[in-house]
This record gives sequence, structure tokens and C-alpha cells, in this order.
Amino acid sequence: MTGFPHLDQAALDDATNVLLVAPEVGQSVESLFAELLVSLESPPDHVVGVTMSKSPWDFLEPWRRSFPRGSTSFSFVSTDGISRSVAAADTTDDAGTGSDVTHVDDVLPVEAFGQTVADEVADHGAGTAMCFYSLTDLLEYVDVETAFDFLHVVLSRVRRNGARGVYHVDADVHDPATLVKLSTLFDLVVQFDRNRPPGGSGTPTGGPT
Amino acid sequence: MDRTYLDDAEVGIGTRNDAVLVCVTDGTERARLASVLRQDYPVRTADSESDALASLDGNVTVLVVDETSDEFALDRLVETGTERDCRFQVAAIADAPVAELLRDRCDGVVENPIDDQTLRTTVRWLHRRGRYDRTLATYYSLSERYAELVTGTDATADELASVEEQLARLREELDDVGDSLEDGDAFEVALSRD
Repeated sequence: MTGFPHLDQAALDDATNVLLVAPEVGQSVESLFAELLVSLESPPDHVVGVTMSKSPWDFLEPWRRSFPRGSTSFSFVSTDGISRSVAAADTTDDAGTGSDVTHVDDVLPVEAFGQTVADEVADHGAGTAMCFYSLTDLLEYVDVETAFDFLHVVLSRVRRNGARGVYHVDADVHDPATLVKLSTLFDLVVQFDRNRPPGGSGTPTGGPT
Repeated sequence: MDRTYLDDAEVGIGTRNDAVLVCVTDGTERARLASVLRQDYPVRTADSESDALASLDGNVTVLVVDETSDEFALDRLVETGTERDCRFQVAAIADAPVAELLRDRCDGVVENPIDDQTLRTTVRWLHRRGRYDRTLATYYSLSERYAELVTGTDATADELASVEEQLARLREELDDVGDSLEDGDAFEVALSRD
């Protein structure tokens, strides 16, 4: 791996739900998701992207480049306003990688949003990885306690379906206490170190449990 | 805070007995329902609203109320419980014509005549919802405490290890009960408590 050279690969392989702590500025978070998932002992055969402030298209191109051609399919749950047009435009099937987009009008009510995410994960089942982008966006809509409760249910649905989940949060946006609090929900916390040179850095951090 | 160690009781781990409170005026029926439910949980009984209010504390996870009796005012019981900061699920016993009307006011409804297995199934389901509600609340509070210790300057390694151990034990329980719920129940319970 190039972005996380010191990552405990065994811990990542064992983890069901992983918190990816990485700055938004100067990083391709899309590529960080892919880098973690491709490195797994058993890479996913389907990836569900949950996008709130970016278009699914922003993820699809990097992911198509990162995952072996034809081995992984993609779908999205998006609350981003332009995803409808992306879905309409994305009619090509690039080496078997489809890209269905389920549009959710709003993050709120958060129960409905969460149910849509849970349904998408359940539809694809074991072998699926969900990339949640991002907790920082979610916290624009709900307070920390509500996000915490929402996340516990989503993490539970991922686990029940034999899937995996990677959830991004921007460390620059939140106070340390919020990050620590949220981290208690996850099996593993992986922190990207922005001070290391591009293309060769990253610091894994184990979660509290 | 002078003392930074909190034992399990102070954190809220394993200290509640998750009782069911059965509020039915008819003595024979009350005893029958209590006997059925005692196969699964500790059961308290009340034959009057004053008895019910006296029994309603933080150990009650499911409140079963006979809505066909004028003795019990469901809204008053719920309101009092809320004022006492109790977290419980409510099952109403009702006759078929009004059962549907009660579903918006209660977490579950058991129709007369009460079938033992239906009662047990309903209360087991509500009990899981209630345990999830409580355990998630406790886990959040413990996570807040952990965050205070980690980001503060006074915590010792032993203190951190103690809270981490409590988090690990509680999370196992939380994940088990959360995973046992269907999607709709899990989202409803988790997000209605905020």
C-alpha cells in the first residue's frame, strides 16, 4: 500500500467497521477508500458508496481505476442533488461495473436515509463493502449524539449482512473529543497522516475496543 | 471530580434487572399473565394506578397496561415515567375494536383474549427494544467519559484501561441486542431517544 504503509493489515482484514480519519483538503478520499478495500485479504465484490456532498461520479472514476477490472461492481446511495443526472448519464457498463444510484431527497429524516443505506447493503449482502462519505457531512445535519445512535444502527446492519463498512471523517473539522467519542463505535480506526509525503504515508490507529 | 474511577454500577453496567411491570386489575388474570412472563423476566404487578406509579422506576423495561380498565391512565403512567427519567417500552392490553387506535400511542398492543405465546413474543420483542435503548444510552455516556479522559490531561493509564475495558464489555452487549432487532425497530428505538 502507498497511503498506509504502517497499517496493521491483519487488523484491517478482521475489522468489520473501520473509521477512516483523513483530512479533506489535499487528499483524494475516494482513493483512500479504494486503497484500504483493495488491500484486503478478501476484497469486496461490490462496493456501495454513500455520498452526501459529492457526486457518485467523483467516486466512480477513481474506483474503476483502483479495483481490478470486472471484479467489482458499484452502486450508490446519494443525497447529492446532481446524482440524478449522473445516474442518467452513466449508462455505460465499464467492464461489468454497473453503477446504480439510489437518490435520497434529504438526509433528514435520518431514519429514512439510514433505512435506504441498510437496504442497499442488504441487497448485495456478504462480500459487500460500504464506503460512507462522510460523517463530517452527517454532522452538518444532526448533533453528535444523534449521529452516534444512527451510526450504531448502520454499523449493526453492515455486520448483520456480513458486509464491511469504511466511514470517513475529516479530522480537521471536529474537536478531538468528538472524534474519540465516535471512534468507540468502530472495530478499527485508521488515521491518515497529512504531514508525511504524498504517496507514501499514513498512520494506523487502533480503536479503543 | 475527585475520583476518576467509576465502577460498573455507577456507569450503569449490569445493575438493572430489566423488569416487566404488569398493570391489570383482575387478580386472576394478573396472576396468569405474571406467571407467563416470569418464564422470561422478573415481573412486578400492580392492581391500581397508585401501585403502578409506586413500582415505576429505572428497573422497568416493559410496562404492560390493561387499557380496558378505567383504573389505569396510560398517558399519565408514561408521562410520570418520563418525568422520572425512566426508559421503558409500553404494551397495551386492548379489545380488538380499539387495538389499532392504540398503536400510535404504544410500542405494542396485545389483543384480548390474550394468548400466552403472543404475550411472550410481544414482551420479548419490546424487552429487546428497551434493552437496546438503555444500553445505547449508557454506551454513549461512557464514550463521552472516555473522550473526556483521552482529551484531558489528568487521566492515568490505569484509568483509561478501566474505561476501555468497560466499553468493550458494554459494546459486546450493545451489538448483540442491536443485531437482534429488525431495521425499523433499531432505527426507531435508537433515534427516538434523542
